[in-house]
Amino acid sequence: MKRLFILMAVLSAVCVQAGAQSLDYITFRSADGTERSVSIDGLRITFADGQLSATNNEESFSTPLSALSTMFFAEAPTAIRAVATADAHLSYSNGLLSVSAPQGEIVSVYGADGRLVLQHVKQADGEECIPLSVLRGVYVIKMNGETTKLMVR
Amino acid sequence: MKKTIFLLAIFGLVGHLSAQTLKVHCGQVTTTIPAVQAGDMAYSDGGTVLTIMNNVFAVNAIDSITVDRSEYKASEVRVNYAGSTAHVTVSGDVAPHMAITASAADVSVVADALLQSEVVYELTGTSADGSFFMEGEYKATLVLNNLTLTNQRGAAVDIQNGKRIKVQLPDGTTTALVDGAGGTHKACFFVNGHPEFCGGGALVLTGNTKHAFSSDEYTLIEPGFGSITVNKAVGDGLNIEQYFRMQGGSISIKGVQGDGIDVKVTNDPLDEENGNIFIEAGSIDLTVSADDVKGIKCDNAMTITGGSITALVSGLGTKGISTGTDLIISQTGTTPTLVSMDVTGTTYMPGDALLESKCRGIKVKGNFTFDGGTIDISATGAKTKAISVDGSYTYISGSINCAVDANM
Repeated sequence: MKRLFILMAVLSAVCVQAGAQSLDYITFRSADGTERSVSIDGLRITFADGQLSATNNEESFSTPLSALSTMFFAEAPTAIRAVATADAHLSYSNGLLSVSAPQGEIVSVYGADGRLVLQHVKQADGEECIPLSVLRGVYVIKMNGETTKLMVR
Repeated sequence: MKKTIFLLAIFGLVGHLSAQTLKVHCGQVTTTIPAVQAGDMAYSDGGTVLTIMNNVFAVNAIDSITVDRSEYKASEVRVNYAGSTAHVTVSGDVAPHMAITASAADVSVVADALLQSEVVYELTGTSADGSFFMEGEYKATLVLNNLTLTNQRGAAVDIQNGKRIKVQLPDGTTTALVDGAGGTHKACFFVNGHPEFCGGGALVLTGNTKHAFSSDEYTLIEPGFGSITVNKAVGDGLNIEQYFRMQGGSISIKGVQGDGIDVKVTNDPLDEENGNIFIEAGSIDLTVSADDVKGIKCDNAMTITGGSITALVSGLGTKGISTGTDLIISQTGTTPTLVSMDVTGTTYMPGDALLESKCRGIKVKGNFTFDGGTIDISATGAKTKAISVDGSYTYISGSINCAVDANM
């Protein structure tokens, strides 16, 4: 009985470790910080005409190889999307973060090291320009339940 | 006990489901990468180069990358032969140190000197015209797993690695190697280093150019080994340099035009046990019928302490056993010693001062000591002898049914 208990304890520790390493996604990171994750189930990656194409059991997507920085296994899909230049809710230019959101929405800006750089509560509905004087780098903006990556050049 | 086994099975299944392996497919070669060690897989040079775990791939050479939940095995090279082609799977931890080429069913693996860990090379499948070549600077394991391989143009398996090569034949498997005729290679299965045979499987060899098997350093057959069968050899069945030690298994040799087993000294006088044979267990079954050849031959001494040697010896001037120096036959431990021969034949090149050779069951150029076991030799034919000793004969114990012709 004692031997069985010890065996269970050892094997449980092994399984906890194994379970913690269930890397079910591959995340593709572009040079501008954009990330896209896909499930590994049925995943097949091919290269042609300067493009990477990834297809799995659920979806397909392509991206230019020249824009790719790295890819890596992940336990969960990335929740970070890049700031689109035509994003209606968020943009940054000349030290001003332009945010379109309801009054009372909290806008939080974090540095790449996780440090809170700015937190602002929307004073009114619609678009508002928030002064954001920061150095070049990558920042994460949390607002309205979404997380967005911002590259300041 | 049942509960323990059930739990082990459950946890094993969970462990298996958690594994992920990335596979980079480039032509006939696939490199496997464990997900947990992949880290950042970096694209560089404008996306034309992909680096994973120190493996550098030209993106335009990659057919595809796939991911599955198979278990990753480190330090392995697996070659599967399938007719006119062969596929190689190499573990990502050793791939950076390997130059692998696969063309049709010819596979070559050259490991660089920086590889300082043992790699397992497993060969499986079937090809009527293929080969395996391996070179390296570190000891290795070669697993012959139900491989059927014929090379019409050279050696079927050519191991140029000069280190210890563990040759494993898994239980219940049969591997058959055949080479082509008229080649320049030394043997159908060649090992430059020192092979150590293990596993309960069977190895069948055909040498159409020269020897069926050859090693440039000692050959060891471990306890519990299966079998080696030589069906044919233009030269020797087993041609070995340095020494041969047999601790189990069975060897069957027939259809050879040279010697059954020939053990030669190396060029290095410091090599241990140079030119010696040690039979400690197992069985050797020989049929030698060519003229002026030997069933078992060694440049120096032969020591038999267990196991059986059975030989049908015919042909002119042929010998069942021939030693360059001494012969010791004894019985130690629990394995009975038996030397049994049926010798028929007459003289090869009679009257020739240099080449004349008479038929013998056992020919000892040094001294013969018999201390245990059974010697059963029947010798017929003009000038044929059961046992001929140039030096002295010392009987201590054992059963012997034939005359010993000794000088002292």
